[in-house]
Amino acid sequence: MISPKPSSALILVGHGSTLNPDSSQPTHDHADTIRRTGLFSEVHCAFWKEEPSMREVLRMVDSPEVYIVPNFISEGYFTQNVIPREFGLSGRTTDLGHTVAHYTDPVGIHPSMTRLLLKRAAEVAEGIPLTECSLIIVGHGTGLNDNSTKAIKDQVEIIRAMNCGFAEVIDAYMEEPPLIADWATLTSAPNVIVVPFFIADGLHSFQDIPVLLGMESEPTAAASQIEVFRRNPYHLHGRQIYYSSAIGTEPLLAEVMLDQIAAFDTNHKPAA
Amino acid sequence: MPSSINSALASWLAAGGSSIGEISITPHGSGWQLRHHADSSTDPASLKPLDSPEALRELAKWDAAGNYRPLHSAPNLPSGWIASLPDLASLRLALDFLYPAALANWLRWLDGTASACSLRDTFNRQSGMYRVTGLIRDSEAESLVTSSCHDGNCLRKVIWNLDGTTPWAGFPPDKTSAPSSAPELGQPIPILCLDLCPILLAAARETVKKRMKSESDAAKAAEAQASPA
Repeated sequence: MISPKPSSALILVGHGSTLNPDSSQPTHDHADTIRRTGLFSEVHCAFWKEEPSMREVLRMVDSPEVYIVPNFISEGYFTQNVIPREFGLSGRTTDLGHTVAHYTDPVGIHPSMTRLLLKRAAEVAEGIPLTECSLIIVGHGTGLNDNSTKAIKDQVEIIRAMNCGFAEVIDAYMEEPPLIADWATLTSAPNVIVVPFFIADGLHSFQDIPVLLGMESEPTAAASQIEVFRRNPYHLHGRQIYYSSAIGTEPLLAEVMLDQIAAFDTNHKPAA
Repeated sequence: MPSSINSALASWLAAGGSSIGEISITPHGSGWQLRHHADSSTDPASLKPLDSPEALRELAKWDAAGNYRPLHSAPNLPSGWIASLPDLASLRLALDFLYPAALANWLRWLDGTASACSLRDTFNRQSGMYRVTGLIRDSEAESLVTSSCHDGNCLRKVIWNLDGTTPWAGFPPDKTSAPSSAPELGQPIPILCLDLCPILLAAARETVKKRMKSESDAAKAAEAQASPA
């Protein structure tokens, strides 16, 4: 836990959506959690596709210092291009005139994400011996950017090295090999735990991945989307699938955000 | 040093300020009560009680028909509720949720630390899928902005213009007039638009792509006509 920062504001930056309210909800929820701790003088959210925008949210800051934490799962176009451009950042620390901004790494690449993945896996398949479980961490994947899969590959390596008992731990993707659609041949244990490595639930976790897994034959209706997580286990190919909601909805993600700020202070903060 | 937003809010309230967007704010004990303008003469006992900024954020997420409201300044905030908030800090948070950045945009505009970013400057800095918005024509922009941002769709005042000098011809003067001083006693806080929103950005992309496709189709048709198989 970091020490209180009574002269610092915090801005959590999410993607947001003009179509789907579920996209920004976890960012708001984590902001609520951190706001209640009183660690920061002010806590705000900003979004690419919702209000307030990144340009607007800076005007909301009354504090002489602000930490900007991208609530994104990996480094990439948004964290390296869009967010710095919209905030007017020139590096890790930027004097913006009325406040000095510190730009942290995205939440999804912090090593603490491992703790969340293991917690999610244990909750979703409660009571099932780990030795009888394969764990799949599933991401979007794209041939355009290696970073989109790096965060997941890193987590797989960490969890394998921990030897915490899973029959196997693998990464899989929607759009590049190893494909999540091939889960039955990629895994061997009788129980398969699938945790989407996404920042929010949305079309991918509600509809696309369940279809790729074979849990649903077609995208489910909007009103029943959340039900997809309540029908575990799914019996397919003589195995049981335990399907989790997106890792970004895990309440402990707020702690990872604070860990990311602590990491910034240790590694990047200029001497006072 | 810019003024504190909470202090500016307190001063406005002390001077009798009570209205922003579709809501009214009234003192209530040591705290504040918020309700929709449409409920100003409704018996409070018949309104749904809300007691936190977070409850107001959830309320503002949907219109009366249950549709998602990505634009908080759209004039379709549901009525039928009354929110009691214990102090200025929770009122500030509630207003930030109901009308994101409205207090900040207003105050920073008045103290001269915020300026409006023209449509051209906003579109020309885009990258990726929105880079194409830089190709929008002046006439397309005028038509898009005046048909998208009028008061029937959005209560914000459009402070940005086309290119830093060219105003929008299709708006009444009040829609684009920027305040030069704090509201007179008891007057509402205006909701200022200093940077065009993601909804307009996406609509501009569609406008340009649609025109480019139409031009491409016309060129192909002309080519086919000129050299029949």
